[in-house]
Amino acid sequence: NIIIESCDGVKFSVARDILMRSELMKSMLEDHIEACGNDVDPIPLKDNCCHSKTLEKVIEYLTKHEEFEANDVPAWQRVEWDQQFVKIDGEEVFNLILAANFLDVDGLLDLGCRTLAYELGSCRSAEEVRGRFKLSNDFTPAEEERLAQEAGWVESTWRAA
Amino acid sequence: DDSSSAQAEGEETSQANKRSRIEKDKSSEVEASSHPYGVKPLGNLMFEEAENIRTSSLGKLNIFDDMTVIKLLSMLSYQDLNKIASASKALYVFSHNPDVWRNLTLETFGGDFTFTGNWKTTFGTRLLGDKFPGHVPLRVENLFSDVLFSPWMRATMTIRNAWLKRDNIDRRSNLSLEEFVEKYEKPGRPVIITDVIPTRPAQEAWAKETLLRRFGDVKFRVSATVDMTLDRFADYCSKASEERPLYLFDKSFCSSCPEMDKEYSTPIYFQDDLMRLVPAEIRPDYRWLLYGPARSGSSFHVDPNANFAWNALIWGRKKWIFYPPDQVPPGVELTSDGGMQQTEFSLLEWFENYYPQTKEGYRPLECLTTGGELLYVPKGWWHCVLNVDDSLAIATNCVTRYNLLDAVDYLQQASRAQSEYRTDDGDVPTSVIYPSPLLPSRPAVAATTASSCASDASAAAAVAA
Repeated sequence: NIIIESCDGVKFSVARDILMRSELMKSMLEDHIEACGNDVDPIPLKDNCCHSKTLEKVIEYLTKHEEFEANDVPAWQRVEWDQQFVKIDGEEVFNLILAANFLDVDGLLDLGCRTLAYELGSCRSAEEVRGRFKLSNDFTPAEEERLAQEAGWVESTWRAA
Repeated sequence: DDSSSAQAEGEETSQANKRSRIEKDKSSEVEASSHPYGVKPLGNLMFEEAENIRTSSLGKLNIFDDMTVIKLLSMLSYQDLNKIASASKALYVFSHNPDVWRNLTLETFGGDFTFTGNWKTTFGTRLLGDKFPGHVPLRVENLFSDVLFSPWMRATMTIRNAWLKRDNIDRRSNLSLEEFVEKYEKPGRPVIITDVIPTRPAQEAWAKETLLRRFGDVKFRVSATVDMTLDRFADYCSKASEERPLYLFDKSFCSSCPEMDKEYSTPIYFQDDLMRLVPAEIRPDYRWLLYGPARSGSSFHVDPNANFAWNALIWGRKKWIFYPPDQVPPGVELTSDGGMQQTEFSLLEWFENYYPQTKEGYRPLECLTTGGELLYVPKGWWHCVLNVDDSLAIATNCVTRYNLLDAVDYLQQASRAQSEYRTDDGDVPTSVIYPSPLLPSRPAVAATTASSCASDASAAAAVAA
C-alpha cells in the first residue's frame, strides 16, 4: 500500500495496483521513492483539486474499476455503476473532473465530462446556460441577432424531420 | 475535354500556389489578429493591456483548462452545441473549434461528406444541403488561448524552407543487389533509389488525374476510422489546411483495386521477403497505399517486428528525418518498459519545437524525396515523415534473411506485436513502436541460417504455388 496525502492534509492508504491506474501517480511514485529512499512516506498531492472529499471519490472509482477488470465484469454493469457514482452534487462533478484531469485517469475524466456535458446540453436556451453556469452575456444586441439568424438552421432540421 | 483541361489547369495553379507558399524562405509569423474568431496567443496577454474575457465569459467553466472545455463540448450534439454557442463569446469560440465539428462530421457521416474548407460548414451542408445558410465567423476581442490559436497557426503557416534544406542520404541508380546488401541492408543505412519507380507502369497509371478517373469512386480507409471515396478525399486534400489532416492509409488497396497490384512490383532488392510465406490470415499488415495532403505524415516511430520498409513516392514531396536505432530523437520519450511514450504534440509542432535540436547535438540523416524516388528504411531506425505537398506513395514492410531472426524474436514477444495503430487525430504512424535498442541483432548466426532459410523458402513457395 502507498500513502497519499490530500491538499488539506488527510492521508489515504491505497493499494499500489489501484493507485497505478492514475498515470500521474504511476510516474510520481518512481520519483517519490527515489527522493525519499522508501515507499512509506506519504506522497503529497498539493494541487487544490486534490481535496480529501474529492480524493475519496477518486479512490472509490479506481478501486471499483480495478475490481471490474479483475472480475471481467460486463460493460453494461460498469456503466450502471458509473451512472450511480456520478449522482452527486454539481460542485463535486467539477472537482471530480479537475482531479481526474490532474491525476490523469482517463475513464473518470470521460465520465465526469459526460456528466457535465449532459447538464450543459439539458439547458433549453442560451439564457439558461448563462444562469446555471454563471456566465455573462457579452454579445451586443446586433451580434445576438446575427447569431440567432445563423443558428436557425438547427431548428430547420426539426422541421425537415 | 475542355472542362477537364481547365480543371487540370486550375489544379496545377493551386498546386503551384501551394508550392510557392511553401518555398518562401521568410519566417511566416502570422498576424495574431487574423485568427478567424479573433483568438490571440496567450503570450499576448503580457504586452496587451487587456483582460482575458475567458474569466467572465466562461463563468463556472473557467476553472477548466482549454482542453477540458473542448472535451466537454465535443460530447454535445450539434443542436446543443448551437445553443451553447449563443451563450457567451468564449463559449461561441470554443464551440466553433474545428476539431469539434470534424469529430461530429466523421462520427455522424463517416467518410460520406464533401469538405467545404471548414468543418462546421461541411457538417451543415452535408446535413441540410442548400438549406444550410452557411457560417460566417464572428470575431471576438480579448480571448487569449494557445490551445485555440496554435493549431490554427500551424495549419496555415507555410512549411519552413529551413526544415527542408538538409538532404544527406545517398541517392543511387544502377544499384546492384549485391551492392545494396553490402552497403545498405547489412549495415542498416537508408538509401534513396531513383531508377525503380520511373520504370513501373504505376508512375503514369497513378498520376493524380488518371488515378481519380480510374478509381475515383472506390473507397479507401482514412485515418484508420472512416472510408472515403478517392474523389472525396482528393477534394478534401485540395481544400484542407489543418494541423493534423486526415490521411489515407489503406492496407487493402490491392483488393479494392486489383489492377494496382499489377502496376507495381517489388524491386529486386526486396524480393527475398520471407513474410510472403506466412499464411495471409496471420500475416501482419505489410503494405499500404498512402495519400495525404501537405502537413500530414507520421511522427517519430520505429517499424514493428524488426521489419524494414521501402517507401515508393509516386508524386508529391516527403521530408524524412532518420535517427539510428540507439539514438532516441529529440522530443521522444521512452517509457520504463522501453516502449515509446506516444507524444501529444503534432508533427508540425515537433518541427517547430524540436527541429532546431537537429543542428546541435546528434545530427540525423534527412532527405526530401520527390516523385519517382524510392526510399529504403532500415530496421530499427527511428523516422518521421512530413508530406510537404499532397503526396501519393506505397509503403511496404519486409523481412529478409538479414532481419529474420530479429523479426522472429519480436513476433515471439506476442504482447508487443501489434499490426495497426489507431489515433483519431489524423497523425497516423505507419506502425507501432518497438524498443529496438533492447534487442540484440545476430548477424553471425543469420549468415548460416540464411542458406537453410532460402531452401525452406523455395520449398514453401513451391507448396504455395
